[in-house]
Amino acid sequence: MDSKPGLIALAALDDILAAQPLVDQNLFSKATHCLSVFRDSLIAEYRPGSPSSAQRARLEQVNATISILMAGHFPLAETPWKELEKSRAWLQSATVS
Amino acid sequence: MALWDLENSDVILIMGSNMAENHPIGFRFVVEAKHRGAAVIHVDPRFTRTSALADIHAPIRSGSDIAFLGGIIRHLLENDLWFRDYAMAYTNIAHIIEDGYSDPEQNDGVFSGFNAETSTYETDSWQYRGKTVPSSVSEHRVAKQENDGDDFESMSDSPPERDETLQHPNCVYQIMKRHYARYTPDMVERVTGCPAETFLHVADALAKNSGRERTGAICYAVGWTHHSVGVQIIRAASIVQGLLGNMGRPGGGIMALRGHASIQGSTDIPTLYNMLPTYLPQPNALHDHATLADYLRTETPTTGWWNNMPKYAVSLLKAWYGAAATKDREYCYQHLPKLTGDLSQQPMTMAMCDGVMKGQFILGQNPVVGAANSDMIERGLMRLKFLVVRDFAMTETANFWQKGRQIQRGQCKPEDIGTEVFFFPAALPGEKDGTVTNTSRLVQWHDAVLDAPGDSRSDLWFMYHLGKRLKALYADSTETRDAAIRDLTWSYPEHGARAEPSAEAVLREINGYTVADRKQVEKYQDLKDDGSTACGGWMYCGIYPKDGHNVARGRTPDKPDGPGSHLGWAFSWPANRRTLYNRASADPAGVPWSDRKKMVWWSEEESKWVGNDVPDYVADTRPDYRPDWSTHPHGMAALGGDKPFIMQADGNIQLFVPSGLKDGPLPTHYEPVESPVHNPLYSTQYNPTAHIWKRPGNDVHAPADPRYPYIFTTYRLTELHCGGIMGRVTPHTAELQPEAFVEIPPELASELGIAHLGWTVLSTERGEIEVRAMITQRVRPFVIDGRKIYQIGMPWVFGWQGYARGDIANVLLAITGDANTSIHSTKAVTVNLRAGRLANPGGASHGQ
Repeated sequence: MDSKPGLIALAALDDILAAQPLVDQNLFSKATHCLSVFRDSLIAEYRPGSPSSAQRARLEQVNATISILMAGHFPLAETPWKELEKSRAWLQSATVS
Repeated sequence: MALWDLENSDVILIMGSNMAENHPIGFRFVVEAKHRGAAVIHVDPRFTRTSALADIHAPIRSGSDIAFLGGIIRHLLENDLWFRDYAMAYTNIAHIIEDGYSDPEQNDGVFSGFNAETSTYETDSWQYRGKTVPSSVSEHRVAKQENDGDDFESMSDSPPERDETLQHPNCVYQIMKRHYARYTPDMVERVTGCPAETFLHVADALAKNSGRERTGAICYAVGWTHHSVGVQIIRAASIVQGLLGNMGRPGGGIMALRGHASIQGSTDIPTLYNMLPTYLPQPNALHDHATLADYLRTETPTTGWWNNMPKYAVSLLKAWYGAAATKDREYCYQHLPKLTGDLSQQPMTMAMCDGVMKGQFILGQNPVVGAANSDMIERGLMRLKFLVVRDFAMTETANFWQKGRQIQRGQCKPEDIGTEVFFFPAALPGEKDGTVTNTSRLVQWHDAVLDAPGDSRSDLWFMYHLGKRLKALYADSTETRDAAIRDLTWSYPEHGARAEPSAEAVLREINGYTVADRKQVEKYQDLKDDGSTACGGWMYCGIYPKDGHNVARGRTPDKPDGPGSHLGWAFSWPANRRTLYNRASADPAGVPWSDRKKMVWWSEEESKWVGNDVPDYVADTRPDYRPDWSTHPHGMAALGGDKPFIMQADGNIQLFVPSGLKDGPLPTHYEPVESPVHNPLYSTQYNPTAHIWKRPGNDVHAPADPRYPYIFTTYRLTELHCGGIMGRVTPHTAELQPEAFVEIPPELASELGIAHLGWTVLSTERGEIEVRAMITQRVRPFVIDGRKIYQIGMPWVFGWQGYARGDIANVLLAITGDANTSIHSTKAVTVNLRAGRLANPGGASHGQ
């Protein structure tokens, strides 16, 4: 697997976490883009075959991170920094597994 | 209020709407009211056909509505012109607010609780003293973990503290007096451009038509909602009507004119991302909603009618998931998607550009024309894997890949766009069975009168058969995530060669039934939270109360001698009630305020509420009922028999809103996000909680940016309904409005050397368009804060499809959002204007 998209996505998320609590649309937009690219790279890798449960769990971790990122990018209330921190761990796990 | 109840109004204020042209069916009741002697007032930046039929036209600058309405509130309070008996009994005017509350007048434009780093509010200091007030269920939550349901128990300990003398410095009356003290007629003129004399005519006309014998109505449309303070403009109207005693009474109310045929219906049984049918909140992953019990505990208000919410939520889950929805499985609550962020149209446009979304279904929408920042929408559509559009004619959204602005300007080629587009022809209203829910919650059934041609199908057919295919696809799946589709009840009778599903069967399900014997439920009071009833939308309960009785089919109007509520004509939710909160048409003792304005009243003989409408109250709760606070009453037991506004936690109109709003408990004037002037009231220029999504291609103009000196507003045309495609593809209507145009005042045209019907270029940071000029005195310059300010306007209904074409106005708009609803700002942005044409035209007008 090409680990580059995952590492780029992780770095983008780290940029956001470092900038908190100020909300920066460009940082969020970049992270959303990078995570989407990462997700798409996983889908492209898994789709031809029958993904293992570990692979599917990994994709779910990335999707969950995107969902939490949406809460920061387009918040309904205050930005959920704690949850974003938590989702970073998911993303890191997905990046290295 | 019912549309036809407008004819009972003594004064009608139309503001934020060109009602005569865009709501002509409803406007006939305004005309009837005028024939009966009512004063009709039109407050609008343009002089339109509505203005022409009004007694008073008050011109105001787009986006200054709160200054105008705030001026009216001040006028009523300072001159003691409010309906004291009504407002003291039925509003929170005497409630005492927490000591920590402070006002924008003290804080230069922000309320207490503002966090400048996050641009959000904490609402603790807005609460009734000693209470935690739940927001009405349907409203937006303010905080991530707003309050646990247990906090709302404070509402059942005692009634909110009041000062009936109105002298307490933190009672709502005193707070409002201080808050609006500067909204004098002179200030109204300075901010809005409306002459003080005209403003006073309006304020006096409203005040004169208030009281026991007289009522007034306010009608608005998206001229109010499409602002960064849209919700607060409507709030200002509700304060005016609360003070004047115009809610729940004949000829009184606030009429939200809905612009599409069934946009009310698509809010009730929603296409909105944040609501389940009939205004139940969508669960949220970041709230305490992990289980159904958590969700219900957190979201259910302790007091008032919404305390019944568990019955409606469980019945909805039973309707959706049927036999699978058992108590031990939380009635399949876990099948419901949980929100994280704002998934409304505008944020999702940007998320589409960022690559999050794979596909999009577009039904009954044409966002390339109708939504803000058309170029950004096109860029987002290009990132999709697939796009499904259903419409009865080709739309700009469906063929953006072939004829879009990006293609026209040579910025990309069709072969570079990877989006696979599926265009499905849709049936027209006369070609399908179903209902239309109109602006006053009136649900009217219509039958198909002929088959749709060719492959055209109803939306119901499409969604039903798509659902069947999905269920077949996942029938054997053992994945948890597929269970929501597997468990979904999706069996409706089909008829005809096309296997059209029965729309009446869907309506029967929405009405609800008892699970054990599948008998129709007659009324929402019969719904249960134990899984014994199923109901697709509690407010529609009663629309199909027994087999073979579709109340929406009713077409029996009242006779000329009355009573005029027309209860035999279709169905109005809830309970076929025409006027919400109509308990307020009687005084606290249950006696009509006057014979002339009677609607419902308490009958001692029958020991129940009776009248000309379906009473909006517990039928046998006496007016003199008072809660026994020693028992910590819940639900309706916590509201006295003199509290008509039962969806609020204490049964009162909230002049001051303690919970549920993200941008303040009172409306206050901010400039639009883009404005040619600085805010005359505060250094806080615009709503500090408004959504500003700055990004390349969506830059926002700075206040008073000299490059964009003109106010720009958009509107519709009678001849080209809504997004225009219906009228543009029909030769008869297309020739009535053959081409896009911009309306320009003669003075500005003269300054810029623009000739009538000559070409002009309009530009913003988002894009440029070219259209022909219509020079007209319908739009006049304003003097704002001593400066002459020009406003121009343009219909947003044109595009490159159909016979009547022209550049898309919404190219010029930025994606910004009201803090509460994320609705776009289409009514007040800034632009530049010049004579001439584009060097590189992006629209279809060039060369035609």
